Amino acid sequence: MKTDFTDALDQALNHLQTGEASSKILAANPDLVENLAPLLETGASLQALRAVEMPSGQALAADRRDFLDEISAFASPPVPISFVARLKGWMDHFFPKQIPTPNVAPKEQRQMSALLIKTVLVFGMIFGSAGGAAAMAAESLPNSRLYPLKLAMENAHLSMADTPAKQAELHLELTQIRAQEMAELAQQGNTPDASTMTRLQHHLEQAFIQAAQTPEPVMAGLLLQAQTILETQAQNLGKFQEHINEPTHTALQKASQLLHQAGQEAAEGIEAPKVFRAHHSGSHPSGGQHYPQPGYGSAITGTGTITGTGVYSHLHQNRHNWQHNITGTQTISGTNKQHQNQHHSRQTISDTLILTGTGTITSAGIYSYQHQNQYHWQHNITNTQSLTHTGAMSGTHDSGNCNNGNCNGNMQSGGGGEHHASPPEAPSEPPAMGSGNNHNNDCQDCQAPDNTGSHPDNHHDDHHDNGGNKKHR
Amino acid sequence: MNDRDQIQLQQTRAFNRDALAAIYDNYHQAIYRYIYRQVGEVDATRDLTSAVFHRFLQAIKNGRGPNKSLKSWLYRTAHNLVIDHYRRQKHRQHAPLKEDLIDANDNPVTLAEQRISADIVRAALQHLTPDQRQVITLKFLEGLSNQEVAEITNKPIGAVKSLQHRALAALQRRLASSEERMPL
Repeated sequence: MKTDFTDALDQALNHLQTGEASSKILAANPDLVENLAPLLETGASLQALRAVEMPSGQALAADRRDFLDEISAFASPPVPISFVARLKGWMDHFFPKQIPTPNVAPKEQRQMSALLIKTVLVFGMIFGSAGGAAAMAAESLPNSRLYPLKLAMENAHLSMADTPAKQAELHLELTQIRAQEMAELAQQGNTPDASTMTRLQHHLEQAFIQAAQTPEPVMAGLLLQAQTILETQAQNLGKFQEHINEPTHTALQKASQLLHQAGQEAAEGIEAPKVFRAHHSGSHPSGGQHYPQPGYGSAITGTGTITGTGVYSHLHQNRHNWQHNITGTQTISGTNKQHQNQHHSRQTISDTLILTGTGTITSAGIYSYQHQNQYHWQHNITNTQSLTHTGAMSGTHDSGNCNNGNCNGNMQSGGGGEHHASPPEAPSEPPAMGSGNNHNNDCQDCQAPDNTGSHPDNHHDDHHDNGGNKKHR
Repeated sequence: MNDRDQIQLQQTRAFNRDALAAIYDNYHQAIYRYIYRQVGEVDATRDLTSAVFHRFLQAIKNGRGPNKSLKSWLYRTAHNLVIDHYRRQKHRQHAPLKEDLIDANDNPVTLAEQRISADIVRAALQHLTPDQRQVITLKFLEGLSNQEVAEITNKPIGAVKSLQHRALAALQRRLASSEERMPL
């Protein structure tokens, strides 16, 4: 019976689609009118969706052009991401089979030996005796004295990359190297310090920013590479469970999560390149309401209002020029935020931040900052706040105007240099509303915060040489 | 698969630029329409349509991709991407503002009414199961036959008819409750 009705409905719908009137169809099925009529009406209501808004001719042409470019990109062999692979390819190109290899060695060993000899020859020719040091530095870890040389070589390499695509590839490679360094340090029983994590984040952010500046097919290729690399490294770091201490485990898990999140973002970027590009190089329109969009890096500029409850989990790969009024309960995490206006908030802010400009922060909140970058703080903070500062700080830290509660933005360094922190402390529990006169500030010249109420002119202008691992409550 | 598709597919496996461009030209609009009718946003539809063809190139490059029906493969891929899109949207707590609700060149009231009506139906469509939505979209909006829908969905024709029946019933209930909530 049900099958009969299903068939009858199908026939009736087919008639409807050919333009036949519903009344005529129903008249032909007098026994089924009661059941058939509402379904036919529903079928007819779908006509409302038939109209399709097409993009402009220009946009259609651009999409087609992107597809054709993509064909070219897919047709050409991919650039190997590994530095060693590229070096090998380069040397094989210039020294094709010029180095005899002994027949007695196994196949793999012969190949590796040839590569090693070629590498030594090239470094020897280029750097002379310094080549040895350079080669050693390339293998060094963050706890090595040669490590600054390694970073300098990387920077030189980066400075030679003259296109966004090359920059993105290099930053991606360096992200991979930072993750591998963290894993090697853990294997040696050492805890990766905050600056390694900072560098990893920096390269990751730059890779996405640079990728967002490339043409669509190139960006798709880069994001595909990024997805593979980031997921692999996230898994590698996530595997460390046993035989490592708690701080190491925490650091690796955090890095693993970051890489996994970024890998997902790369995957989403492949499917929605315009959205990815907007989040990594574009900007939101000024004014209006900005809704929470979890999981995206954004460049947010202009003035606006953010309302409602949400989670801002941004992989910030661009600066936030933040001139928004924020109300409601918000959780904000990410990198590079510039607060330049009033914050009415009960917010939890964590991770790496750049806070600049002048603003007012009111209401209760937990500010758990892992300072791994510049910190320009000129906010008036009222009501109860819990501020927990951990991590490495570098650059100039201006001042903080704190009122009431647990607020200290009173950090300033000479700028320019990097201040390495000891391993971050676990964030403190937030105080109860209205409490917060508990200060533990190891800054030498800090003015004691006033806990008696609001006084926006209370201005700190302090200095510290090693701003890391500070905890202010 | 028809002969033209067969020849085109053979050429695409060699990454023949003209053949690939012809496939894009043949199917782009149909896939765009199919996605738009479910998503209702131009930019998102452009992205998803590009993603369908990107996946097509990827699949061809990796020696996979369509081996029976090119059209079915493209629609299936579009369907999967739309599901992913909905899943992502679900995690976002607010829909983006529709700033282009009214076109100044047309009668704004009529256009707005049409848009609202379409939005209501589209919203109701989103509450169907992915299979139901796929059948309804292919059958009613793309105008495909049961046979074609069955090929694309990899289901027997009887199952397509059943899905169609259940989908319309669910849609009817959803639209009825939307009407009840509408202000007078």
